[in-house]
Amino acid sequence: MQTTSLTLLHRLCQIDESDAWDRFVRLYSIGIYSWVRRQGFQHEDAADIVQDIFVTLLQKLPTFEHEGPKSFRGWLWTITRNKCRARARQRKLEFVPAEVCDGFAGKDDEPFAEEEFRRHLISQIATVIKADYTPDVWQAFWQHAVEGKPASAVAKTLGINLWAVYTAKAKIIARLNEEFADLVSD
Amino acid sequence: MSLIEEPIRDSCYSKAEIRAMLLGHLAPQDVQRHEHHLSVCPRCASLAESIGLDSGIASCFLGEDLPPPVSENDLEDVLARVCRIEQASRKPVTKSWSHLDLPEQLGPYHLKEFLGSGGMGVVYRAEDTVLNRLVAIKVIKTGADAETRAQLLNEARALAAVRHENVVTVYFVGEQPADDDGVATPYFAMELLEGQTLRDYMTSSRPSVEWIIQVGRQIAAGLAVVHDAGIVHRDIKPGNIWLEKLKGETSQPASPRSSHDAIPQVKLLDFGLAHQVSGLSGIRRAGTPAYVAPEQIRGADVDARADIFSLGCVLYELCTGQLPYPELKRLGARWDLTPPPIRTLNSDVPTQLATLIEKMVIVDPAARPASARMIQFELTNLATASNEPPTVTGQSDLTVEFPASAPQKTRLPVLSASLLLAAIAIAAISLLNSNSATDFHSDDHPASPQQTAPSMTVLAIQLPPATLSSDVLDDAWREKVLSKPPQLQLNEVLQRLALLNPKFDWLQGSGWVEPYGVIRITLDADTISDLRPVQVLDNLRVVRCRGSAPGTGTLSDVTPLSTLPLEELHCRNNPHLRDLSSVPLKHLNFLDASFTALETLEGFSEARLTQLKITGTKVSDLSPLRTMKTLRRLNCVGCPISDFTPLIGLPLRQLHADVQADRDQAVLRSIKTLETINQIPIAEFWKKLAETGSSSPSTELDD
Repeated sequence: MQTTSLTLLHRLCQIDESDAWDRFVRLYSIGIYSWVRRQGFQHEDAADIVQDIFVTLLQKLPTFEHEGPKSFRGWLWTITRNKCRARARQRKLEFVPAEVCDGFAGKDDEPFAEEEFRRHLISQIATVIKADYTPDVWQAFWQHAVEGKPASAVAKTLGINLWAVYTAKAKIIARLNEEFADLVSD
Repeated sequence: MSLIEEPIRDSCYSKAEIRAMLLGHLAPQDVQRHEHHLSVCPRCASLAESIGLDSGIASCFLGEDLPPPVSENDLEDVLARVCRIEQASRKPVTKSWSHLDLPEQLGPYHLKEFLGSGGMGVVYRAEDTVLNRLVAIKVIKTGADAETRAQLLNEARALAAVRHENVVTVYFVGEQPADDDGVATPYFAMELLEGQTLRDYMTSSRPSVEWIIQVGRQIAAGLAVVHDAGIVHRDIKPGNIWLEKLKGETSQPASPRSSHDAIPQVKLLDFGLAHQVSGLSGIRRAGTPAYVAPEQIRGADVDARADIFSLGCVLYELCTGQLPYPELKRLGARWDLTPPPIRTLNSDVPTQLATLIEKMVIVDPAARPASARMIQFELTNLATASNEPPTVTGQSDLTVEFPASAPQKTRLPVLSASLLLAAIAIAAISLLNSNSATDFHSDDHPASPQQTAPSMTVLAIQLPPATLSSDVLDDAWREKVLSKPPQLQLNEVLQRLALLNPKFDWLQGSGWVEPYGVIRITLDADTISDLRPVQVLDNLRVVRCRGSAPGTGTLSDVTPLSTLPLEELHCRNNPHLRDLSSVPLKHLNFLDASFTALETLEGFSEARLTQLKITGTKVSDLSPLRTMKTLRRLNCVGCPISDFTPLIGLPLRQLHADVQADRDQAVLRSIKTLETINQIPIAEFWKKLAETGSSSPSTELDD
């Protein structure tokens, strides 16, 4: 049972959380789009697919049963994959490069593809939350937690103290684990 | 997780404790001690150091093994598309709430009609029973916490003290005392306005430079007054700027030009309602990019200069058709870019105006013009200058012409949902004369009982004419619709359609509005079979009423369209639609009747169609097309057609059809204009046809 009401998904269900909704729209539309493009679709097709996925999401999200962090990701992955397949099938009739269709024909590399899908989504998180922090806080987190530089070096570069670097890191990581649990937790 | 208790030992901490202290979960008075301990204890420092991101996550953040980012133009397009569907399909959140638990009477106000909801409140048209006038009542959502409610009320009270022609007048601020469940209902009463928001104006019109200066001056004047009263608006954007209909202005101007030139009276709306709504809410609420100042997005304290930034964005957009900081860059907080100089996008904008606006949108608040008053004065000077007769070398026509790429952005289709958002703004639109307080019948309101029983003719006769609404084409209704601005005409028609077609959700309908009328409407034939209200829109050029898939549409009668100047009719996927003889042919150039019960093209020989789609119909004879010397594209896959000779001599370029090599090759090869068959270039098509035998390389049935 999910007790926290703070995950992104839960907040989406509370319709007044417009911030959460904005982050959701940006993160997922861009993340999905970039993955779909990677599969070989051209812009028009990819944008259509993303639009299609959101139509489905908007219809089904209100009644989506949230069972643990992974289920939403899995659900989204299924929707995305199916929409891509449908589009590839449709396109095949119009003589598009065969490899685009083939990419969705077999299921052998499915786990790999799902992981790649997740990576595309995760890569968008930073762009949607960055604006919520002052440059110092964000840089402290980025250089220390993402780039892996020692906190002392980061503190020196930014001209802030060690404690500030640690707090920035801890706070942003805690937010990632809480709000984006469906993406960052395995 | 339970709160970590302060350990008794004074020396070291566990990793969980260190995490908790960094997150500020421990007592604030101990922070200094913790901070000191971490700085001197290598063991605890290394624990703090080791709190980290999963390496896989960090690598995603760094973009490792990921393709380079896709272009921003593409992303903007994707985001815009998602926002559009979100706008169209997401129902107003408080729709159900709006009719719940509200007394009919709030103080001296008798609530009459629900006008819209959004942001922090729900708006009603109401009657002031003491002063006998119509007002708009905004009720603050009970969802807001006590502190927010108090803050909103304070701001509303401060605003009530402001009286200025460019600021919406707040008459009354009050709170309905708590009822049984202990929740008080705060609300305020405002003047009821006629007109439209700047957002709606911008979807259908291109302003002249003079118009921009005059409207900008009024916005600045309104802002100056509220700033003087110590209020910061925080959410200046086109949707919160109301253009009031001028007295004597007809809603259907003789020419589009005249409506452009008329300078409306500006009223600023929705003060102080932006608190809880962060700057990033633009996408969600209106599908428009944010106009919010960078310091406000960062969550810093804001002052009047944030409003100046927003006003600058609005003026920049009016001049160029685009925002100074395109959405994605703004949301990604890339403030390091300087917006393109206005005159590179539109050289008609006078240098002085361009410079002023460019200063207003500078990222650093300190570099912006210091006050709205100053901007007001500058714009007043400019207005005087542009009113002077043109010099010999000067330009006499200051109408803004956007560069070739811009008009797309400024002339978006008007979604009915965005119109609803317009209604969500405080102001309400009333057709009724403000003194006819008794004439309240909200005959477009779904809840009105007269409406839900269209067969109550007998009863209707007993009612005064104003409420007689059993006939959808009732003259009173028609007059009422036509007296409204085009955007609202569209809404009226959509709402009336919803009444006649109970499964149709009017928010799903959309259209395109020009200053002189609604020219396009898009409806879902899965839920619409009765089109009658549409005939009131006598400027309609394009009607789309398609089923979502073959077999799903319920439309069978298109006679209501017979008087319209139709250029395009999209009515595919309506399996019961057999008779198209009433479709007006005079201007028609596009017809999609695929997957309908159409059996013959007889009667269409007079039409000047350029595109005809009859895929999946029973049409077998193409000979009525023989005279259609305009036809460039024909889709007739799946039709029982055995003879393509009627197409010879037509300027046909694209054909979708079941082609048989031996039977059709000679005929089709003689049509020299043909470029593709079934979307395959013609030469390739014949080659494939030869390879695959006699049956044609097929396209998908549903093109």
